[in-house]
Amino acid sequence: MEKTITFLNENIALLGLVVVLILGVLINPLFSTPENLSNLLRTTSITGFVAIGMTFVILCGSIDLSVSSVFSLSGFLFIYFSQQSDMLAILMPLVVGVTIGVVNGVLITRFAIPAFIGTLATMLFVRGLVLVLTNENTYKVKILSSVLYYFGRGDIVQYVSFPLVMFTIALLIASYILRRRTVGRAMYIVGGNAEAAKMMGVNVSTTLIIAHVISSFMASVGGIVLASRVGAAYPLSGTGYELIAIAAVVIGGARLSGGVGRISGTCIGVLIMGAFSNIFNLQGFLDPVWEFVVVGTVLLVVVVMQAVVTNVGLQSISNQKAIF
Amino acid sequence: MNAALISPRIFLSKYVAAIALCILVLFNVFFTSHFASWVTFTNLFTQATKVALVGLGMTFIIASGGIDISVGSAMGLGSVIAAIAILNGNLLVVFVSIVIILGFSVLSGYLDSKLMILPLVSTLALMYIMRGLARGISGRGTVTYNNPELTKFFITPIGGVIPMHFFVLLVVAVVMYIVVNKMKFGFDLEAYGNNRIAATISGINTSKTIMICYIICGIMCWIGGVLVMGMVGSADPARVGLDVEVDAIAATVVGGTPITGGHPNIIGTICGVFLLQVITMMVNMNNVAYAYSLMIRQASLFLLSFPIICLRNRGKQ
Repeated sequence: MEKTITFLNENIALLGLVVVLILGVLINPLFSTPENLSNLLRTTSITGFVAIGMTFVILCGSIDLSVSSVFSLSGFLFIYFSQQSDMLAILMPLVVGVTIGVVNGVLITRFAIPAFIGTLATMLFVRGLVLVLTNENTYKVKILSSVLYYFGRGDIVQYVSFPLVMFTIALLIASYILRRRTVGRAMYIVGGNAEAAKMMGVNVSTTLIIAHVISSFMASVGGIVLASRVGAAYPLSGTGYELIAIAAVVIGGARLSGGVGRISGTCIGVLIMGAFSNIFNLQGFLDPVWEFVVVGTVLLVVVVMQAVVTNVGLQSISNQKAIF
Repeated sequence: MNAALISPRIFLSKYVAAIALCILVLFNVFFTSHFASWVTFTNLFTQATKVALVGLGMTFIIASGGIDISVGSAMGLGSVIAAIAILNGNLLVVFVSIVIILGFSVLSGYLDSKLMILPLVSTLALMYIMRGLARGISGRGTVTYNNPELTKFFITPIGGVIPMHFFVLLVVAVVMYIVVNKMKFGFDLEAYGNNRIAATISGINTSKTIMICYIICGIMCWIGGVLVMGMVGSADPARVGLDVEVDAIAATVVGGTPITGGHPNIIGTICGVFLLQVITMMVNMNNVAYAYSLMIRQASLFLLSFPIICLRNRGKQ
């Protein structure tokens, strides 16, 4: 019984993904065509970048609401600087992303502003900045160089898109950092118990700042890829991505209170979210406007199941303690 | 309470938003042309009331240490169902809408108090569900009803001068203030927000307290949604209440209610809402692009929450 609970607890997201994929094939055979799957993965990797960054922040027990605006800003910077040089177009958004991450981190650690409020403030500020910079209009350029174009639309081989490859590499690096590097391990400790981490000699502030920098950085990468794919910067792009990313991370099994979560879980969470909206576009029974209802219900069911499993697990642990 | 206990520090941390609002209003009276007029005053109330109502509901939830990001969707869903009811000519069905919104509030209260799910996630799911339901039920578009008497009731100022929003807000604010400062529920809530474990041990029915918070917030969302609907005679499922949660949370925090839970500052929240609204109006009346108002609001959110937190932390040391 306990083994089943542990297994369920750790692999509930994977189970969900399998169900979603089977559902997709049953609903529309077109779902499993290579074209559709390749498209699905390309779209998913864009939100995937944001979700990877969000995983780091959530592991630390913090939260980053500003990713949606950073996403949008870096898209604009990418398009704007694409007229100067390719190098600048890629570097500038990343530099700005890192800077915003540092600002977020400092607000939260040095000024002791709760993460929710600090990053909410950054979110509004950066969104305002994007609206000012774009003149509240879609910002277009005549032509993007082939290198920049490749970021969003390129295929390494047929059906394997460049964003997907970048996403996979990002997943591997993130997983390596969280499993093997001191910084990554420190994030689990900070999220699990910040007081204990401090006493163990972990530098809590630095860890938090690094997590926020990674989050903003990944959001800018996502912004670059989308801007390159669309070829224009839309001032409201990325709106709501912070919530999608949080949902994906939570579906992947992470706790918002921090300390629990894996990159593989996030990957599965992102795939579930992406596959769902893809399936919704392929089916004919329900009007697309119901998509939100279904996504919300799925999220709710997953969260409730996690809570029930955790509560049962906690009870069995406390029972054991009572016995011994 | 005891006058000797009120130090300047506590006074400041409680009324930072009120002081900032006074300064901003004075600034505008002198430097923005046509600011000091009756039209501005009525506009302020008609625009800020929906956010103020939702903000007051949010104050309760934040005081309990939770957060509710589904408020905007609840406004949307409530107004859409109410509009459909009026369209079909059956005013009794309007009450179905409030029952449905209350059902969702009870659900989020249950998820928070019994299943211990962090409210940020559970209300995120409910936000998707309610917004989706609003769009699904409305059949993909704005629900417009034609009921001139009802619209007239909403837009005609009471006594010919003061908009009804003013009275709605006044009544709600007074009731809330009494509930928080004079009733047992208010003390229970503050105790729970300050220290959950201590509150549970000392015998406070915590799940009941949380449930009441969410129900109050649900009612506030419904009133806000119906006010928006009544003013224009239609309900747009995709637009009503969009991003209201951000404004409501910002106003609550600027108003001095600690985001980690604690004393719900009713007056502070109202001042916070008006502060944000006056900033928007100031930017509009000076012919500056809307985007700048977002940036100024952010700056004020940071500048005000920083002293509040500093003053509070110094008190703890």
